[in-house]
Amino acid sequence: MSYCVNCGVEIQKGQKSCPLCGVAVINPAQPGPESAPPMYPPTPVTGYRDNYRDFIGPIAILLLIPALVSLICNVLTAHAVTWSAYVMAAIGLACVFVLFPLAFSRPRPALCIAVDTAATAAFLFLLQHLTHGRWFFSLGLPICLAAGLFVWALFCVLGRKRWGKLARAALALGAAGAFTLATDVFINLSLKGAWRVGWSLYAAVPCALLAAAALLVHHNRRAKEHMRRRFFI
Amino acid sequence: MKQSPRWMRLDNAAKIYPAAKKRNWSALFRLSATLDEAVDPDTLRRALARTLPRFPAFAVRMKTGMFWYYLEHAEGAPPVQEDSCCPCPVLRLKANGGFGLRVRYYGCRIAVEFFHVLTDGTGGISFLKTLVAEYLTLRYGATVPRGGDILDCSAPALPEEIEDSFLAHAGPVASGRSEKKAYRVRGTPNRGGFVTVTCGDIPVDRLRDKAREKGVSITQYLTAVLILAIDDIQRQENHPARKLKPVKICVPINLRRFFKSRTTRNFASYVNPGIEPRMGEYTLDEVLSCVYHHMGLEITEKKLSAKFTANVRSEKNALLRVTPLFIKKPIMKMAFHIAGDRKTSSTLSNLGQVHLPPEMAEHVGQMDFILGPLSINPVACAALSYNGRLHINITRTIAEPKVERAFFTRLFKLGIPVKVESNAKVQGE
Repeated sequence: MSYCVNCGVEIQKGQKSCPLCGVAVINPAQPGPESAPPMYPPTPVTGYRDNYRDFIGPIAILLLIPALVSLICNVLTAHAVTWSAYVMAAIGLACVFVLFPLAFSRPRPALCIAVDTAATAAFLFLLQHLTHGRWFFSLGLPICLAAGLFVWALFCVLGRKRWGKLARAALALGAAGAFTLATDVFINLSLKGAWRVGWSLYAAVPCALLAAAALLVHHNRRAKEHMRRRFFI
Repeated sequence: MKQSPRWMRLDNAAKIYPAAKKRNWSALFRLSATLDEAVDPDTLRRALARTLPRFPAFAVRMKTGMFWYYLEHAEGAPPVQEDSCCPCPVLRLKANGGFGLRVRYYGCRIAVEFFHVLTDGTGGISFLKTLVAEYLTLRYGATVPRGGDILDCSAPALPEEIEDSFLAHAGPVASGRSEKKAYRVRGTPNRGGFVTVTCGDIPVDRLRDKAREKGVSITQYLTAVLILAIDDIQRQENHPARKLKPVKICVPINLRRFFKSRTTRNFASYVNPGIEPRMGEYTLDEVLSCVYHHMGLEITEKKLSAKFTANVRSEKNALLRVTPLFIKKPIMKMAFHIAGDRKTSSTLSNLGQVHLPPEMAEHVGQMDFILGPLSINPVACAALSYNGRLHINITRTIAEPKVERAFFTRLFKLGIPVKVESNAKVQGE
């Protein structure tokens, strides 16, 4: 008979460590290991599906149908690939957004956001190429990167449940305000060549004020309690 | 309601389980008996082939109807399999021949895992006892007397054994279902669907003496200790006092004690005794008082009837009945995930004392009852007494054994000797 030196409970024969605290079983009166068959055989679990990879194929085929149909229609009517390129590019982007996360057994938000941002940038680059424009590097790419950064910041902030709802709301509002400012600056840089802000102030200033108010209430217990009493649903 | 032997409706409690089923989760529980000799798989197959027809409510496959799921009689039997590294792994109905029960063996142990659509613990133990009786008869020529919950496989099944007792005993009053959300134990999820089980072996007489000292039953005593264990875990997370959530335990109640029923299908209700930690730290006596009085008030024929009558009324609601299943299913799934496990921190199911006739008892050394993983709560407890020993099996789907540690060390400090064993090391934990 062996006992755990930490918990005090008796340990069944064959257990090398205490199941409750992990401390190794020490029994000076019994130097060799007490052998007993394990509770369960080592046969692994079968049938457990830890990802949604088996959905990738069917969804890809479903999305391929409108892509191919539009391509065929385009080629038959215009004898060239014109408007269907937009449809196929959009469906390709949708595939990346929907199918890429299904390949993992655990959520990987940072990786998925990075891949989605890259896919969106590639989509915008293709749009520029199809429209013979020159706006991708000055406008499209910076806004795309700023949006990716904003979504990632939102994930980080909203996932931290310990910070409290008001603090998270404040940070989310702050991030939203910063994103609108960044978008405005990039647009003005691209079109007017100047570091200016205009319309974004109508969004960013209320966001900043609301964020500041939320943070103030978050740090003031009495105000928080008062708000909770007044605004409960 | 008369049921055809060829098909039957799901009973009232079972209706939620197919809708609540997830990709890697279904409501399972396991009962096992450890014999004095290694199990012979061929004999076990023959015993199963003789036992299953005697339980027509289990020899079924689940089918999808337009408005509800239903059970259709199935010929044959599920495959007898060797056990795997953990109890109650995910059940793939197709891989199991469509059957909602799984018969497994390992060494000297025969185990049966049930999908809750078929039955509850009481129905399950009747099946296991009958299966083991048939096995012993075939293996050793033992003449095991049939009666009580060991059924005679040569006799036909009785209509009352397959009735939906919820419908038969629903009363005039339905009670509300609203309750506050409880604290949930959290941890690192196990990989690959592994279910860790820790078994605590306790002498029944010592536990009974302790419970009698306090004037409560064994179930109430264990419930109180489990509540305190989970309360300790919540307090160790350093939440501000006003943010502490109620700690409640779901305790299933066998309704056959209150209503005349011989059904082998589901016929159980539940009560959720608990404490409100925001009011302060509780002593064992205070928790025992809460549990004792809560269960005393709730476990009456009238209250239990009102509880399941609410579910029967939902089932009989005209609008719900004519709603197609493909619309009903996501709504029921959502209702289950909103109102199901969230109201309790864990479950403690005590099947009580299991008696076997001497012809069987001389061959059966140990019996166990294990709950499969719950939908949301990662820890569940099941208990069963046999041959003077109480086995408490705590299953978890997280890596940290915090509940087991808090629970068993508490019991130990209360003067109840505990011997523990776990399958955790098989996966290299």
